[in-house]
Amino acid sequence: MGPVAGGGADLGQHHAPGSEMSLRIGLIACAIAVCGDSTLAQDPATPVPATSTDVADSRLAHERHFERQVAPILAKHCLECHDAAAAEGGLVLSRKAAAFAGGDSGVAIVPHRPDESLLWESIEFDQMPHDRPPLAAEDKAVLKAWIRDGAVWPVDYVDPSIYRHPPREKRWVSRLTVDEYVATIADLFGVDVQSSARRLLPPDLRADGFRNTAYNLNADLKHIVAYAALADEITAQIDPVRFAKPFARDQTLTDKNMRQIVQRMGKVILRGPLTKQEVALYRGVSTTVALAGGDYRDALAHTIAAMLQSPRFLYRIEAQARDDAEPEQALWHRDAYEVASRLSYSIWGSTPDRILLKAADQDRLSSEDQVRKQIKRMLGKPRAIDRSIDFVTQWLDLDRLENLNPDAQRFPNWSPQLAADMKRETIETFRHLVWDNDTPLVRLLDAPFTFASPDLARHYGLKSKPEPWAKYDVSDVPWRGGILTHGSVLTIGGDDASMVTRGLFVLSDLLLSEVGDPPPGLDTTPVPTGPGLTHRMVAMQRIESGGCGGCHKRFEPLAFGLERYDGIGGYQETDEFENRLRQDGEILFPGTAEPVPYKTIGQLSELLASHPRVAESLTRKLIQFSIGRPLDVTDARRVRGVYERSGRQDATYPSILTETLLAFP
Amino acid sequence: MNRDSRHRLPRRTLLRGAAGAMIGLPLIEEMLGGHGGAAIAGSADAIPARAFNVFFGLGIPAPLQKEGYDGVLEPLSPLRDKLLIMRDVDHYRCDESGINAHFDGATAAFTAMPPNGEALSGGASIDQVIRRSLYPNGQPSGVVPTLVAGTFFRRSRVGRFVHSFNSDGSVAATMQERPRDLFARVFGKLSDNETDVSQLRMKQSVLDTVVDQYKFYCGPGSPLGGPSRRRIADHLDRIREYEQRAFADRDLDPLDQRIAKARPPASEIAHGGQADPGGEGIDMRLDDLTHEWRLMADLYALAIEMDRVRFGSLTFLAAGERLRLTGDYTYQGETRYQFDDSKQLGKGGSGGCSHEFWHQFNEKKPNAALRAHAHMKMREVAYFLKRLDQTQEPNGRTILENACITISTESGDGRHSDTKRELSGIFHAVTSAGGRLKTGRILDVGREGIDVYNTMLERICEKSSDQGQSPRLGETQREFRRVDSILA
Repeated sequence: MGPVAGGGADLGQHHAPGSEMSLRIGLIACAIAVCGDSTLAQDPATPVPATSTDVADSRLAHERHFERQVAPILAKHCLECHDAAAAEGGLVLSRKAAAFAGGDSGVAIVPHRPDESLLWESIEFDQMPHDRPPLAAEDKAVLKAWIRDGAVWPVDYVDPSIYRHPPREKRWVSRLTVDEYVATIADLFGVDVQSSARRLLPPDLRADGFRNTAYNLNADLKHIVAYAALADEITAQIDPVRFAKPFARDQTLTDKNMRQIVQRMGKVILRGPLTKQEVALYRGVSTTVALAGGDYRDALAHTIAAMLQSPRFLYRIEAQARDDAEPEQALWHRDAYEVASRLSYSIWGSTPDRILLKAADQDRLSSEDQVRKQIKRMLGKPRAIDRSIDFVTQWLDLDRLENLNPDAQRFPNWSPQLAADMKRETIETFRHLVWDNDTPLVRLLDAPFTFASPDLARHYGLKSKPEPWAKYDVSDVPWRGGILTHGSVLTIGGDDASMVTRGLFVLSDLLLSEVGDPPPGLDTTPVPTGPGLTHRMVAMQRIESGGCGGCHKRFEPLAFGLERYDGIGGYQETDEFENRLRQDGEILFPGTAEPVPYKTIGQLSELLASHPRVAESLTRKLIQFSIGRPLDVTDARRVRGVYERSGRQDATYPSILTETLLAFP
Repeated sequence: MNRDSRHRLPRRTLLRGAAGAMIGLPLIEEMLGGHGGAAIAGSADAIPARAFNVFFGLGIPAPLQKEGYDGVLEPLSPLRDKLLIMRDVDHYRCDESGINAHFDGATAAFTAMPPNGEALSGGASIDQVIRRSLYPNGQPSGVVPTLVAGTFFRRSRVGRFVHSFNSDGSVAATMQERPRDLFARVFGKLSDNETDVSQLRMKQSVLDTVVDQYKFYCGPGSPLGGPSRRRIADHLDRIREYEQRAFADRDLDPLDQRIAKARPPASEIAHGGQADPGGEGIDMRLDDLTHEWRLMADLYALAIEMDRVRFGSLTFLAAGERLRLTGDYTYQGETRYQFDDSKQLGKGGSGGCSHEFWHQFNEKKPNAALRAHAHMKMREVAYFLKRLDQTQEPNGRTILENACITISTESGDGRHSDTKRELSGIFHAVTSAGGRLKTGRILDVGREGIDVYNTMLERICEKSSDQGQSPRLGETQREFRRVDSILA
């Protein structure tokens, strides 16, 4: 969208400066005050709420309307030109105060008075978006009604990365991922089916950054075949009689005994009590076994096999709304066994343990306090560490390293082992920060230490230690420290150490922002470096060009600090053409107008680690992983709540996970 | 194959000829020679409704499409009477800023909707709409509901290589990326070792038990929401297929038994994560690529010929594919080009992949390498189509003519060339769908893909929509603009 008040020509003819402007300035103050607390009661078009509860509900409805209807329109059509950095026509529509303050041509939004709001006038007559398709009639209607109803604006910042994406379908039941299946079997039966499961089950593919994204966890024939084969393998590995002993009265095929086993054993395997109908179904298995000449052991094995192929085992069944309505109740208002499963799969990636199931039995998962206590207990178990490593592995796509195959002539020292060491380096750094030191997650960016094998240490220019794996203090090594200096991250730029790719990683994965595609017809073939031409110089050419600079200035300088790292993370101060390489640059934090300079990679890492934007981004990543679906505009309020309550920049992995579980019903 | 040389015979007899053309599966030929193909669903005379999406990566720039069969489309010319080539078809409404034009274009193909996630399309693909419309109660027992397969090496987003989607945007079936996987999915025998009748009976009982639970969770009493119930219902369908394959009495079908024991050779080229090392591309000999693809195409075609599959998609190279191809490219016995991408581009890694020829496309230049690659892709697409054209069905038409086969690609005229916008001028071709669509010409359609697709759906699904509006893609409030020029 072009500037609402760009040059003032379009709008000035309707709104001359002078006394009218003064009036508008007065209205600005009025608008801000109105939006503060009394908007709804003063709007003649809005029914006067009868009670304080009505007021609260009405305000909540208006706030939600802004977030789900209005903010997405602003984000999609206006902020390209009217965010804090571009501010065309002096108008910023991404920040609440700035939006109500207006631009060079006057007040853009006058609550209750669309006809006096330049925003509406410019949209109504298709003057805006400038040089873009006009808004659809329904979008126009939304904006007009919003202004007419008081222009309630409940957030400080309309973040395009959140509000540009429309609501998505959320009601996807989660199938157990391969990892979750393996862990669940191990915890239930003490059997390791890792090898078989990975061989038989199709791999879960990454979707929107994670492999546990529910919408992509479908089942094919190969799954069915694998689940049947795995059930056979599991029942062959265990002693069914011994496994069922805690649930049995005796070792007979009598109805009374088998019914009890089905009830009690089923509750553990299927993560909750069975209905009468389900008991009858599984009881039928043992009857068939008996009729076919099978014995007690056979009956148990086939009953377990049936349970292992049931939807209640393979899927995380939770009550869902039958329409698009979102559940608003707190997690602990759910069925206690659903709560138990939610906690166990989010924290452990596995089935509830007996303590959790007992808590569900005794209705001790029905308050925030009770749930918090369970979360705290569960975070103290080793399984929680495994799950967190799964998070960092998927977030940074560390498994990618197993398949990297850089140009051998260019990187003769590359080896699969070096790649494995890079992956381990990041995992161990994460583990040490999160679990050994209980450190805020943002410290991943500027940790003054790392872990390495002797080969990796040498690759990094560190003095290697004799131990096959050791911690290295890099507080005095200016070119190492934090994940941006890890080979696991630096290799995302490919052999050419692409500044575009690295910059986009920082922009999207750390700063939670995005840019548009290159314009049509553009040759995006990377420009090679050469004598007198470094990656930075090539990047500067793009930044300074009219067509590309608008976007490239937002992300390529983020990678300037990484210029001295080659495609596989080696550090160098001159490139292959003897060009001297630099490490200074600047960061334009989303939502701000002025870039912040940095001189070294260390400063870049520190700036990122200390900025709330990065903390918020990491919080969102962990929330997404925890709930198994991408976030959208309807999650914005809950995400903000998690961010605030988990400690903002001081948030740790456990605190974010805890608040996520409590915030998402 | 010359139509005059064939007789109107049931599929089971004609398969003998079809199998003779296959590579890599000598056992199949031998087996079919003795028994003929067995159509497992329906009578031999019925012509099943079928729809398949054939995708090839990187597209064909619009200026090259203008050259018709004299240019890179030459390999399709033997089939020209059975194809409608559609130029100037736009998907620009599917361009999602900030995502990736390759990905946008790839998910727009066959859906005409912008993506809704990395592995989620914006709506159903044509084949699935037809499937749901013409088989509202499911397909006959023994038919694989949807077969998704392909030979591809760019894997970063599922939408780059899967081209069959449910109405909720999820993938319609798991991708089969090795010939051996496809074979197992369609023909594999699931219970080789199970001969004990009592064991089989007990296993059947186990499945019966869980089937009832699946029914509950996808039924009216389910606590789940719509997408979840559909997912459970899909799982239930797979279980029923498993039951049919694992426990059905197959003694009456010796061909099935024999095919099930024949397995294609293991792939010798990279798959899984190794096929896409961080977007840097892999080296590939042309012969290795075409060998793998043709085996896949043969098996897919065989599955159709044997009426094991009626809907799905087949992919030859992914959107934004990155290969460094080497080898002589021959067509009709003539060496047309020598692929050596990395050397010609002067780079290794991603910079040395044929992908770069698309980035460098310039209408005013010869674009020799791009032309050779695009020509090769058309040769391989034609290979699959010709396989389907070798089997004549009782109505006198070949499978190719009876089925609705849509061939498309990604942003062939997007950022890779010099036009006004992305996702415009996307190459499309369709078969006649049993005489419903016009063939034998090249049309400059000049319309949006969604109108083209909805026109196809209206005509193909008209029999099923007597009671109401034909199924459509896209927003319901959007005005439908029929593209009459493509209708027969």
